[in-house]
Amino acid sequence: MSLARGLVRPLVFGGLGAVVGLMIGLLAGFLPVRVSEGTLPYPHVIPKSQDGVSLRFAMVHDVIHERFPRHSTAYYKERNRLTGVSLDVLKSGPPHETRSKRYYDLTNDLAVGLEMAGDHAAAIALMKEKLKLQTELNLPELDLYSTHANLGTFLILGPFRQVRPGNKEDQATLQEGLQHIKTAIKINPDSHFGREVWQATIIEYMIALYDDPQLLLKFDMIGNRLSGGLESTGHLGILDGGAHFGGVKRTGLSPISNFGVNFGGVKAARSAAEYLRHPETWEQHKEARRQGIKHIGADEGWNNAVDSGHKSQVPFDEPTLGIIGMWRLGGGAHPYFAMALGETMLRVGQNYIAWSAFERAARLAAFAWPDPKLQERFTAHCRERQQLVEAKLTQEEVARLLPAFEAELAFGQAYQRDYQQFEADRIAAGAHIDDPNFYADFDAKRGPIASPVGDADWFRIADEPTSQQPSILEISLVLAGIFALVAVAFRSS
Amino acid sequence: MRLLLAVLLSGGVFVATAPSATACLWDKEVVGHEKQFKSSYIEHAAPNSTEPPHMVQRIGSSIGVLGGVGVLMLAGAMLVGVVRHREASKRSTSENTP
Repeated sequence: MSLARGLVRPLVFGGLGAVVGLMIGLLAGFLPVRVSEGTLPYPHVIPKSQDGVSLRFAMVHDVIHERFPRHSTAYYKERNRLTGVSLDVLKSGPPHETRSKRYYDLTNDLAVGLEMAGDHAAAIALMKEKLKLQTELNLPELDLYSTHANLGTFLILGPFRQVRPGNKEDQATLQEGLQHIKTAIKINPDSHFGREVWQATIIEYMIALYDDPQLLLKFDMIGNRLSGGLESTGHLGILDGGAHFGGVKRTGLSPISNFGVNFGGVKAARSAAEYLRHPETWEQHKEARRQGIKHIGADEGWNNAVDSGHKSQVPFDEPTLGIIGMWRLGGGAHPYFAMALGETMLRVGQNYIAWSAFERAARLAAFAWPDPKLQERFTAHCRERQQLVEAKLTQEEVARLLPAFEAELAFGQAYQRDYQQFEADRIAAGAHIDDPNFYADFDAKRGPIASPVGDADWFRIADEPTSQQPSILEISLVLAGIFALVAVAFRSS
Repeated sequence: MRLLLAVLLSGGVFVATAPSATACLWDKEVVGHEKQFKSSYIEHAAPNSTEPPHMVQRIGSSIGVLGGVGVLMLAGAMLVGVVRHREASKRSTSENTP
């Protein structure tokens, strides 16, 4: 009985200390999290909008190596012929037919087809005529969206294809095109899957280049600064912010900095995984999705150098998807695209893709600006960036980079050549381009061109505590001991 | 002269073959392209696993040096408490003994 009474005081105070320790541990995030081994997505695999497209690194790899289908000139000429026939039918009908949505849609198809088939002036003339007609009819703004988008795009193509430094007319054309693109964005911000914002940015970049071509060596088209090492600027890593990574070992993309467990990292990734499995739960995962995506672009000095609507850093997947869209659906490879992809991939630790993007940019340097010295320095920057990547690899890995790039690029270009030849042959043989089976034979023979999505967009975790931080149990025991000792000491005094 | 020639030739190549940078062309194929593009890449949720890993919060299993120190302090306090109480009881008994 005497023994038990002697234990009461230290046990009561020890218990109090243990409770305080538990609370401190919980509040400070020292509670270990047990995670069964598995794969979780990085937050960029969640689209920005519910039905939007989300980025996979395989997409970046594929545009750099031309692994996607592109229509032939023969295809567009045939499409233009068929569209012209349909328009003629409408024109020969009652007058209201030429004010119908179908008429306007066909006009868009014809104008785009003319541009893609090389008749630039006719494409612009057709869109201007459409805009005039729609404006006279005082149509709702939304009906004018595609007109502004197409006309803005056609207008800028001239100065982009033929850069004439100092040419005021070209600068004015770029400004006019930019205004149409901005109007299109204002009318329908969510159309074109958010790409127009990046098209506006590249036009603004080009306008700034007309004033200062040296800008080409300072920033890429989304404002990533080209000078300086990336290690010292803290740019590396795929995720922003977050807390320490406590208690759980993870492997996969490297480097993965600051991907927290206790403060939301793995929790957010699990939420993202749940969303991917059940896309209908979009609203439920609103809080967690897309947390911590690495922000890039608009580096220091960009806002002074370029008069752009793009003024602050953005999640890296947004301009990346914009560039992929411009590359695939627009005019194709461009050194500004390749440079921006290289700088972005370098900043998120995708070294192989970054190396390939810089290789592509170097090979396109002749189109960056019509000044051989600038082209040389543009290429030199690409080679310096490639060396940054190579410094992290073994000699054997470095030796494989160039042959792998050339083989992949040759594969993609051969695919596009064969695809275009197939189209020309089928059209010559009398096949209809709108036939759902038009490409059946080609697809059966060649299979899909898109690279399989690898594991770069996911990371693996395993239940292997690696942290040296004290566990919540340890904190509780220490505080229980301290409280108990103080309690008995206080009594003795 | 050589430099001038290089500039002119370079400009010539540029004019002849420069690629364009467009994104916003809008025609009947845009939506179909986008759907096809999405389905080419997005269809699988994860490359190696269909089930997200389970996550369970737990009390740490390892006590470690810090925990050991805490246990020793607690045991010491309990020992001191028992000894002090026993001594106090003895004193109280002897004081009450006539």
